[in-house]
Amino acid sequence: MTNTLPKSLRWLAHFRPLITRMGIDYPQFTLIMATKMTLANRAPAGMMGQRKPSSHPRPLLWSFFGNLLVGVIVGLVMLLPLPLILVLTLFYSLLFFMFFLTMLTSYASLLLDPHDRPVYSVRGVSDRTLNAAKLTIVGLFLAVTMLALAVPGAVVLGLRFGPLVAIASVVAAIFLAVLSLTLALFMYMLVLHYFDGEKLKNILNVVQIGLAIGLYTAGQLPNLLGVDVISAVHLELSLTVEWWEFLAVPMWFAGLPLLAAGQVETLSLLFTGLSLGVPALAMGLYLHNAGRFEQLLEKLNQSSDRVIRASLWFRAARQLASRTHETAAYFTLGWRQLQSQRDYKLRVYPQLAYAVIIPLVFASSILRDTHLKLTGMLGYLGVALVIAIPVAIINLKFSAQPEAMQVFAYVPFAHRSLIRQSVVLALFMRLVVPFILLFSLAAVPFVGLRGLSEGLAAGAFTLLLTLGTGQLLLHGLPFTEEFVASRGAQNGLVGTVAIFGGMLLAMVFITTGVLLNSVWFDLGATAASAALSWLLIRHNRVQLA
Amino acid sequence: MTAAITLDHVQKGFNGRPVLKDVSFSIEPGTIVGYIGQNGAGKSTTVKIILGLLTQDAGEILLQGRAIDREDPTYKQHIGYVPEAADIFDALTAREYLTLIGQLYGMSEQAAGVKAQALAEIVGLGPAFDRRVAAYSKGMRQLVLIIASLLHDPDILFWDEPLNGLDANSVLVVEEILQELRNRGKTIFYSSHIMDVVQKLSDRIILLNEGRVIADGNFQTIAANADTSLQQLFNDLTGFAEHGEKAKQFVDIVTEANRDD
Repeated sequence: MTNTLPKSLRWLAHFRPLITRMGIDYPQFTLIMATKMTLANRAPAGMMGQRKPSSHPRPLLWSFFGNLLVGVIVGLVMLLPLPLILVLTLFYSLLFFMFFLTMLTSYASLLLDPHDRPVYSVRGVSDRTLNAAKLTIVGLFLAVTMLALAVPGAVVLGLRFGPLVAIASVVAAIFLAVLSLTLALFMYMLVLHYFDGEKLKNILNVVQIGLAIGLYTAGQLPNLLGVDVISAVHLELSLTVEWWEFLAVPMWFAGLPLLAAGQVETLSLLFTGLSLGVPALAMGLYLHNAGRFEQLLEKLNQSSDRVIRASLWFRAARQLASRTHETAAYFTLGWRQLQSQRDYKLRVYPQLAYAVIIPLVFASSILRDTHLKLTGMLGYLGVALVIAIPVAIINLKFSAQPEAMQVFAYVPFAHRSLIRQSVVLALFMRLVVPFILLFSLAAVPFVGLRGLSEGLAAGAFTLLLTLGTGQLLLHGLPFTEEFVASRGAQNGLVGTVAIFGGMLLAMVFITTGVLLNSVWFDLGATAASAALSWLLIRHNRVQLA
Repeated sequence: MTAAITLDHVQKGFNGRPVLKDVSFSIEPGTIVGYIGQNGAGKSTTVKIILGLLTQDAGEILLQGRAIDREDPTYKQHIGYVPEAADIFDALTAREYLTLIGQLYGMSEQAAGVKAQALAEIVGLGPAFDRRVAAYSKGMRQLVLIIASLLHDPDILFWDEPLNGLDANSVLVVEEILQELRNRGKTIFYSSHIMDVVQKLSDRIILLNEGRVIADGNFQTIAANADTSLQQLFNDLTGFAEHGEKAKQFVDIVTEANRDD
């Protein structure tokens, strides 16, 4: 390996004296980064010849363009005819939301990777040097993500308010990225410090998923609460700001662009001070304890002594979804993988939570604006889970232990499509059915048994879409690829398209159901969806024959 | 003579469960030590503590007479390590991986590359040297790990199951390498479950059971009966005598008719 810094990081050479003064071994630091960049540029070999060894040779570039598309949408929002402070607050709220989410779902595994230490630390690399190299690489990926998300918006701001505002917006966005990253690092450090073993891994997972769900929910809060509540918040530039408004962290970052726009006021100065000072302080504090972070990661290498039991729901679902011993075995495989793959949960559960929140937002806004009753649609609301299904299916490709699927290279099995189908059914039974059942049962006290027929229709329709999406998006064997964070943009793109497409489908289905308001619609939709699902399953079996 | 490795009343536990209860020993330079024990006895934990991957709860560790300083990892320049699990970056070629390791130990890229290639040629890895490790067999990966542990000419070697996956010829070569290294003054701390190899190679055997050293010395010293093998001794000392019965039960189940048939 050459220890020449990658082109994108050559500027770091100017900081060599500073880096060395921080107790970091500079040659080792550059060597680790060069290796990490080489590894990031080389796709994993894949399993059983399913994938070409070098698809997407420039992951950083792919990631950039993927996020740039989302950035363009943010840029369009900046065209809203609002005062600068409002536009900026909106801009940084969106950036904070998307950036933090990308970090949690795509880059957390890089930060929390315990496999580096056994390779580097035993060869005389200090924890501080290792952590600095890791952080710089993650920082580079995150900077690219942030720039892709922020630059289109900054360009629009520049066109509307002048080039200085554009430059200040980008600078503030970088500080926002630093703060988000540091907050995540401290959160992980805290969890790593206080928990051990299996509980540690679970808590990390829960905290990450909880945060992601929290962000989604917070994003939808204005829709849930209604516009009247939000308008009560003082958003105009005023010297009499309530103290609690300072808790709106993304708002701080409006300070610097406001100054650049010539609005030199106490508030913009205060916000600028907070937006530059707090990230710098937080990062300084983290760097002081950086080595400790790597030591704590060793806890993730401890083995687990957890005993897994077959729940009643699992046994019932398997009975329902499997016709033969063989398909039952594949169903079990899928169920257990979904149960144990923490990274899968991290990437999919927030989207799933979003799919549960969206119908509530949808319902509450309809209730506010029309005379329709929530009870009339409650049973159908579960259909909105289609929003999460494409991301849930795409992520079935990945596993923390793809090599385990090598077993299918030597055991006799009928066809890959049978495995795929059973795994997709396990996904449906485990992640989708409980929510549909919940909405359906919640409707029963209001509309009686009709709630069940609505749930049945929603369930059958969602099953059809799940099987169809599986057919379209899942190829080869599931759980055979290693997730590469720098290629994670696909998740974001599929997620965004799925939200719009899924929402449209769900709206059409729910609106039709509510307008027709007939049990015949439920029965018809159930029969049609069940028949088409059966045809899809049958199509797979015909392929096998 | 200053001991190469000294462990003084080392203790370590995980989640309140003690793994190393009280481990003490001292190893002279130029010795091959077979460090044996059942799965979970604490062998890997001992090595991880010495290598700084874990911190002991109590006790002291000295390498070449100096207490190891967790804040200063330079002591690891004197250590070569073969881990039990093949921690190699699959996407790198053997050349890239080995030059990386050499450079981490302070060698120049060119010196590391030339030396690694020369060693690889000898053990038969030459033709595959510029292929990605992902395409390597288990034995080839093991040879890469062995070369990685020796590139910087360390004084102390920690080899955890070094013969994993090697073919019979490679096993012979590696055994000879071990003895040659010992003859040149290197200290080798060798952990394995293959008792006849440990018995054959080791100048000294340390047997760990449930976190304590229960036997320590050369084979003749610790064997009460000169006719016994290390395998038998291991079974006796760890209180395991039902292997015949267990094997019979196992094969009975394998050969019984499947319920579905």
